[in-house]
Amino acid sequence: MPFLFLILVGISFAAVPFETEGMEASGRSDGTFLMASPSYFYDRALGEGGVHAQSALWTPMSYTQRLILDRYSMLPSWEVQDPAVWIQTGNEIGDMIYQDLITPQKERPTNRVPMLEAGFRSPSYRSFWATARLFQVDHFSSNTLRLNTKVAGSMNYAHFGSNLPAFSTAYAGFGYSGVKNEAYLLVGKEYLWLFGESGRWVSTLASPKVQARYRHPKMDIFWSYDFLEFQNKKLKEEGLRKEWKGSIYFPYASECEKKDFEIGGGIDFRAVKDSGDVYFGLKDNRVFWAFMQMDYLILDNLSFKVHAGMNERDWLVKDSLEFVATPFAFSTLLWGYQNLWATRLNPMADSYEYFDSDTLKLFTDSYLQLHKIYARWKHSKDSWSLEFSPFAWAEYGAESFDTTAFKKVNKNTWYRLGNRSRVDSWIYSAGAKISLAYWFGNWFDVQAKTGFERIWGPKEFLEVEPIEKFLSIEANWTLKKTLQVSHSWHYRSQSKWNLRHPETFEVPSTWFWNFSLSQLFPKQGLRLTGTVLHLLSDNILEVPNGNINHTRFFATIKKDF
Amino acid sequence: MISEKKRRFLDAPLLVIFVLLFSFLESVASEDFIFSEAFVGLEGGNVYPVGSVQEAVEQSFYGQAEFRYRYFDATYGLVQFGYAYFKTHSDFKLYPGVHQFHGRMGLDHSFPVIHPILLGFGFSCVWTRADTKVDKLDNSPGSSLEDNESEFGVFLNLNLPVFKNENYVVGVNAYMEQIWTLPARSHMFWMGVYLQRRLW
Repeated sequence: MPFLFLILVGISFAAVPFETEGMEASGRSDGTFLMASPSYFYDRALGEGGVHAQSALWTPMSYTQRLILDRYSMLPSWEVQDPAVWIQTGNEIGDMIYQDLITPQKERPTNRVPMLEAGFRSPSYRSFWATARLFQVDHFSSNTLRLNTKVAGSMNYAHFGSNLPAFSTAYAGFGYSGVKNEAYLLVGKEYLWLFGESGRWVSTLASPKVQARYRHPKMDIFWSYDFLEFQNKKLKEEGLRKEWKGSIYFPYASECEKKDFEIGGGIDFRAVKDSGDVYFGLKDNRVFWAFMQMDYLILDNLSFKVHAGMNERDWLVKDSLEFVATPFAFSTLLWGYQNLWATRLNPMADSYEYFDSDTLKLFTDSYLQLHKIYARWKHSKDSWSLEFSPFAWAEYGAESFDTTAFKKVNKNTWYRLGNRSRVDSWIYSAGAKISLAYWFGNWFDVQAKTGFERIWGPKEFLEVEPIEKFLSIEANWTLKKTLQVSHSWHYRSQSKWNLRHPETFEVPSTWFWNFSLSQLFPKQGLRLTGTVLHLLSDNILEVPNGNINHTRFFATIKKDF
Repeated sequence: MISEKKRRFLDAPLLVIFVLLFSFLESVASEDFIFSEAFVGLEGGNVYPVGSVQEAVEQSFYGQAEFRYRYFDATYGLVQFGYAYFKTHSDFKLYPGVHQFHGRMGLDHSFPVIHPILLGFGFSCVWTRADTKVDKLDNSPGSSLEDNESEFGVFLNLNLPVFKNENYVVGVNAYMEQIWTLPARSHMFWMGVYLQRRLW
């Protein structure tokens, strides 16, 4: 019975897959991860400096991600997949199906909604390949269905079905993957619901959306064009936006690659042309952003990293100094100090949201500064390791929101008016994370993590008051190279939204279980996976005006080429 | 009254599947066996609603196609796709019936104790849709089936091969299926006759 014992002790890793790239926030506990829908979530790992969502902060690698209003997101991902053919389908568990016919109106649960995906990327022929992908995740869309139906004027606002999913994407294209050069062109159509700072969901249809990329070890060029249609049938409003977006990025080039010094940089740009009722605005209809990054190994065990960017309106600098020591056998000890100064977390984001006759300003004056000290002690021996990571940080001028008024829509839905603002005082924090990992050969591993963080300061002015503690136990098995089992148990404490609801909106502490089972057929390159997420948990609303995090199941069949 | 959380615990059929799965651990496939035999088959029979679903729909015929493959020594994998049309009772006025497509993936195993019967289990997925257009947003009973509704579940299966020769198998399959619906789980009992042809 050792297996049963191990099941009870706990299991897993990051090996439990999610519906699609970028949805990991719906099943993580090692911080404050609150999901309203696949197209909007607050994500902050415990111990990250500052009180902002990580996806709200620009980084040099942001150009590989989607910009959704003022957040970078992996999703809906137009990243080209590895050569394979795959299909996925799933559902939030608890549709009524035949129970619907016999359940009186008062006892009817919220409708549960599915997901689907099908795609392929062909093997290369003389380095050329073709790809196509249709995917949408309807999960997290039941609560907003009624209101959004009025906005879209129909329930058929997606490639498939009538649940008004947060995104529904289809694209096709071709590419070239040579030894050093890689290029592709994709064209598609995408429905996407944006979550405004007002709390209103705004529908957009990109038709077409075109994306191209050229990659070389020394240069990466990215370009996209969206012809976006905004509409609100309830208000009889329509608007169009043409948007050009791109970047030229020079990663750490080989010329700069001395042993101890690396430097790279690039330019990001966006330009829009709006007509009619577009619910967001970009100041001057364009934004450029020039940036550089540098890694400098000052001594063998002392390194300095920095990235910085600027344009005529904003600037941002983030740097860190790290010292690594090996005081004992099998132990490493890292000391770090990190700074962030920025006039705006995301300088590429839209500047305004238009709400009826009001305008919400999405930038503010002055700048934020964040300073963090941290350490990481790791002791690793044979088949286990222990890691202890204490940290402390202080932030002044944290980005927040100055809510000036609320508008009630219905019992559970409120919109807000106001502007981006700063918390004009210091916020302090201290905490630590501990993780213990054990692995047995290459067929079993288990990892337990816990962490706590205390924040001092005027918390009532923070958009989100993060969780204070979490616990997770994860494990994976790979048996006879053909069966993989992964699961993870999570607990996280309470968090709060302070500024999106007339009363403080509490997200209760919760625990949940994720589980995944994969059958591999290595000779055939085939993988069958069944995954259950957020099982044995309360169904809770994690974001005001958002959707409930339900238990859901999905199955995947993938054949690699 | 049992709490929702407790009910989910007691009801969590996944836990049962999990334990069953690990009882199979010793027979986890090795590459020598996977796909060493394969069959395609057709199956037809009757499906009976069990428990509360009897109040919603009537029994029905079903048809399905099957792919079956050797997974381990005495364990086979199965993949099925099928269709059934469930008539609603005459007092239900919104629509006369519901189209249901289903897919299943699972394993069955020959235990010496119950030879020649094979015992199996697996996951099911059903896709349903009313055969008449209705207004989903009016939220009256049955209205959610206006568009595609799908749900997953699990099944237990007994497989009795009645006739076998080198290339063909004729037999009887019976399934007890639980679909993870709300506010209560739904159960169906399926029984049918199949014909399988060996591919290799």
